[in-house]
Amino acid sequence: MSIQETPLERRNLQNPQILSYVQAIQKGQKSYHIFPRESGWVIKRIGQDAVQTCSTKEEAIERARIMTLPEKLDIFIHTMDGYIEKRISLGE
Amino acid sequence: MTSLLISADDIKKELPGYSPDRAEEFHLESAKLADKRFDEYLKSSSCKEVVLMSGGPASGKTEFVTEYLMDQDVLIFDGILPTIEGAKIKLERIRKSKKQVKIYAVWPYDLRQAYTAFLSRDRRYSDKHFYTKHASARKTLLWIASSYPDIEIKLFKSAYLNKELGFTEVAFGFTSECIAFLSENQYNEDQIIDLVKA
Repeated sequence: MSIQETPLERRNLQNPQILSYVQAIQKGQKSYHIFPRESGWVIKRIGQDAVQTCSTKEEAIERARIMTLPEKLDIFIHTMDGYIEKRISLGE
Repeated sequence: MTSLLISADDIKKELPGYSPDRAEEFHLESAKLADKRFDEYLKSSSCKEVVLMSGGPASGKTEFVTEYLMDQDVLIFDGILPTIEGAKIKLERIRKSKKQVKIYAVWPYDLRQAYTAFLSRDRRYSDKHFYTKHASARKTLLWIASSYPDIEIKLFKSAYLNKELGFTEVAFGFTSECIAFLSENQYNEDQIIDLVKA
């Protein structure tokens, strides 16, 4: 295949739309997600390894609350099939 | 020279009672209004070229439009192109209007980055919206590439790197290569869930 990838030069480094998108990614990357796994309830950030595994969902939520409290970040609790069951927004 | 932009997300802001945390409730109405406005502009605008944006939620489509297309003399429909039926109707109407059409698709380099942006931005949707629309946008794009080989498709990858959002154009030598690439990068809803929760 002759696929060519060419990075585009940014035109406006102060583009408000892009700044807002970047802010959302940065905030989102800090949020904690709780997933049910065979080993227990795993607390992790998207794209990163688990930071903690708890034996119950309630314990995982409590641990995640403590971890997110200083920055008032979001906690997302997932179901077994991956969907988000609940969002806890400490900043709101 | 400025473009004419139609965006369902912008239209939502005009609807009574709208607030970003209830964006999903207003999605259908704003999408219908955007389609209606698009038809009107197709008839009334003097632009000779139409750009249909394609890509799942939080891919960076609007960011791409504001960075690279706003100074072009084009009519832009900033949407997901989530269904083959909807795309077919738009393409036929553009043909009738005798305007040239291009598809600009924006795909995230890493779906997990788009997912984090999707969950943390002001506009709130259920996560199902993310999985289904990313899957269906890719399916529609493949269908367009296969059914309309004469339509120019430009594919851009968006990536958040070194605290900046950047775009890379992915160019193909032949339409067959574009179709092969799109075919190899189709995902269903479950596969997208698996990718983002990794």
